[in-house]
Amino acid sequence: MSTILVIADQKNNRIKKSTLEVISEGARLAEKHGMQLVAAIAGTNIKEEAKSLGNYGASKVYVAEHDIYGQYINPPFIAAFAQIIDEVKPKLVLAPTSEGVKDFLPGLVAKTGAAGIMDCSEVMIEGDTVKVNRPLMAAKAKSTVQSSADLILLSIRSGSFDRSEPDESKTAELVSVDVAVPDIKQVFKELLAMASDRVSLDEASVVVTAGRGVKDAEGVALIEKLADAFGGAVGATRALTEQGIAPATLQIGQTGKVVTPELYIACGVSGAVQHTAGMANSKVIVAINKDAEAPIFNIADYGLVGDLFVIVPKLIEAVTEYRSQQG
Amino acid sequence: MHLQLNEDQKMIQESARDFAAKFVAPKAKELDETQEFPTELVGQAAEMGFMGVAVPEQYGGSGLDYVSYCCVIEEVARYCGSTSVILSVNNSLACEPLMIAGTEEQKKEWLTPLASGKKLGCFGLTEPNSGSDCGSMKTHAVRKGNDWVINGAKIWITCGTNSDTFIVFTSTDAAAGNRGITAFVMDRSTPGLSVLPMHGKMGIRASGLSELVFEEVVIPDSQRLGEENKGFKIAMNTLNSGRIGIAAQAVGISRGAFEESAKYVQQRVQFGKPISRQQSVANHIADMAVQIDAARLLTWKAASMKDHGQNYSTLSAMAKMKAGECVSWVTNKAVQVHGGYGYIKEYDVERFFRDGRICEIYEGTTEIQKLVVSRAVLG
Amino acid sequence: MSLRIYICCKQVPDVAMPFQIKEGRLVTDGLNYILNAYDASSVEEALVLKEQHGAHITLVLIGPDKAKEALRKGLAMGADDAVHLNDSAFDGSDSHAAARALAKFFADKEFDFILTGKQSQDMDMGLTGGILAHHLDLPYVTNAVGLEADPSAKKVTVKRQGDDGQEMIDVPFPCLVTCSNDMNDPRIPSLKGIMSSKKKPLELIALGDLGMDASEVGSSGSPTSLVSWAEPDQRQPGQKFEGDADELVNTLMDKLTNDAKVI
Repeated sequence: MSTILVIADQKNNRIKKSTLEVISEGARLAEKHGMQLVAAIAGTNIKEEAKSLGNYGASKVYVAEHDIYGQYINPPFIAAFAQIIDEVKPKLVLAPTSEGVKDFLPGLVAKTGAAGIMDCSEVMIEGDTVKVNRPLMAAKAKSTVQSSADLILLSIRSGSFDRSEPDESKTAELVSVDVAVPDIKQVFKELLAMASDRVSLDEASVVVTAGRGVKDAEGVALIEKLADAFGGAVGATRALTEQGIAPATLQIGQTGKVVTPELYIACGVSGAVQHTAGMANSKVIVAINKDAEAPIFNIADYGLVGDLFVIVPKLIEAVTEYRSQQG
Repeated sequence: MHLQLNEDQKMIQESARDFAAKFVAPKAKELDETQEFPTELVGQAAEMGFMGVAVPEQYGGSGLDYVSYCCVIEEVARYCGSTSVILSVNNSLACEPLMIAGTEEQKKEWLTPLASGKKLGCFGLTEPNSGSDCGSMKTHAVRKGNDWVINGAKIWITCGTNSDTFIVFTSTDAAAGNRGITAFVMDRSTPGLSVLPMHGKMGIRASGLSELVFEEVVIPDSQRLGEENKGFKIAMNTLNSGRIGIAAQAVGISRGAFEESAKYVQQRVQFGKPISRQQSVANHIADMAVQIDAARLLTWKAASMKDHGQNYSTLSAMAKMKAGECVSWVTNKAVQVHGGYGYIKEYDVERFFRDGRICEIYEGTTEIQKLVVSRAVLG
Repeated sequence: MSLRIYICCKQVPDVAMPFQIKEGRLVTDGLNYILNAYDASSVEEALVLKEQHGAHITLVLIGPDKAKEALRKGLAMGADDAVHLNDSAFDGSDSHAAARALAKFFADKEFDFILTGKQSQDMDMGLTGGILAHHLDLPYVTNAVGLEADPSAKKVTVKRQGDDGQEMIDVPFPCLVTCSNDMNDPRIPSLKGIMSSKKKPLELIALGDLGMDASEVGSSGSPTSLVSWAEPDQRQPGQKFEGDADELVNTLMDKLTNDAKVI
């Protein structure tokens, strides 16, 4: 029986939402094609968290634990996952997408000799061949790519698959993996982090994004208030990050983050394809823009044509009141 | 024949296009409103090598051909009539007379700073009472030992407000009309030369339009350009190539109006569909596209003939005539297809309409161009 | 102490311009091709380092004859010379095959670092740089948004856009860095740059020059294959509301709580 291996992505030893989507799909594929499902994870203190992967259908979870996995410097991750892949000999490896994972995947693909295909939105297995659908040309086109290699490694676009309900009755065998820490030439010096108490864009169920119409830092502060009213995260379009009005970590789009929240509220966002590529898979999209012809309205479920500086304060009030009533 | 830009020209066009989109476009509206001369933009254009495109490298220029020059002017004009005419005046009206008639010393001293963009130049031909009939000019130069003394006034001098170098045409033999004109080159600092800004133009409002006043201006004979009384030919030959630059400017402004119109008509919805689906509007767009391509082809033909050393004076007149009519027609239609939005500053087409209107007037009116062409045909 | 830099480039269709997909293929007729924006940023960054420390910058590109234009663009920006891996055998190469060919090219080259764009604008795959680094046994970092060099200490300091912020990472020579286009604003070639690019050395390299055979590259050398193109999935427009701000907010709250049930 062949195996599907899911690589898990974690932050501060918490498994990210995107991993759960990927492992859910891994479980569906494994069941459909009579394959075994296992997972692999690397973190500084990750054994407890690793167990949850069993609830999603992994029969085994290979765990590499070491301080070195506290930062995404690629050599130890390449070494760890390559070793696990060498032991498991899967046919198919699935990985979620984050900047951290994107950094080590090419090296892992090369080291294991896998056929790598990144940013997949659909996965189909036909015998020895794996076919995927993935976006192209800044998401203005879609393509079907396939491989019949012995080992295929795919990274999965956020929000492509639904997360299943975890089944507490299912458990996985934890396998500790002893990975020799490789010679690491890169030296991590410091992280210039944007300190924030807000939930991260990857995990948020509500994302409120500021676009060009928000104009300046003061406008962004208003958008932050709306995000806080929802208990959500703040995003920004390239128009703002380019000018330094919002930090680059908040950028959503083809070259920024791809987010898939339950609710996405675009304020003063025109809706250029480069941006919508990063949020088009959100469950519900709301757009607030004074330009009735803005392309964002073509993909918004609910569009409000009006001045965001008038609408957003009122919306903040309404949401705050509603949520306080809910208790 | 192969009617395509070559590899070099395509790269030049691309650079000019990227430059215009990045640096010129964001400033265009503001320049029109403030009427402020775009000194910074001109400096950036100079760094790109745009101030002396066809001047040989040994004189500080970029050493390129006139077709490439047309591409540069067209791309800048696509966003800003003012900036494009400043480039055109420096290239064609200031550099060209020195190229045609300058001595080696004069080229080194006067042409090199202009072509490299270190200095800015302008062309003083027109007077309050002598436009098309430039032979009737009153500004005169009188020999005094080894110097010349110039008195008079010029009007409608583009770039005058910010120029360092002035090419000035004077009457040195009033009775001889066209055959009594002499050209000179001088620096702004020359005593007796004053530059008075002219405000309130309909369009190209940031192009530094000025009057020049000469009060007992004394300049040495070494600053005479070409032979005594042979200045008319220098002026005419200069205007021949200047025409090509203006034609390229007109094509660029037309293209700006056309591109905005094509975008607008696809977005504007009336009667349940974009107005681009109304035949009358689609026809306007089709007409604009043809007009512009035709005007551009004539412009490139004239430029190409110049590049190949052929006599291009008739072609340059045809090009300016066609391009001038094109920009008046296209910008007018552009305002029309925008409806009310074509009549308000929020949209760019009203600026294109105002900026383009001068193309049928300056550097030889359409009527003069028709004279040149009809004479060429009829003799 | 100047730097020796190589930059891997690709020519791609201009994704900002409209294109068509017919019968599962991209219609290439009439497409405008450009230097990959991420590679243009790599070139720009290298030029800045050249201005600071002195550098010899060589561009390397795999592509058909037409792709020479992209090399000319990089040379016009200021790179010193270029190498064009030009052979019909390379056609249809995926990231793996391309990296293999590049690795063969670099096998006998000395350099301080190689820059590549983090992905190409047509495929958006993001694999070639890292795979090449592995083949050459070079430490690598992806998604650089800033780059500084210290020639005397023989290292670069990469500012990398990570998930939580920007990470400062030192990497010793020789190494490979993949670059984001958020790094800088590539300069527009001046007329002088364009004309001087014609005189800069441009070496043509064919398959045989690399000591490779056709099975290692092109479609035969690619473990993955792009089977077909299609239009992207379209999200359907929903409801649009105009009017009084208070009414708009009420309507929205109603929809979100009762219809969409997301709050």
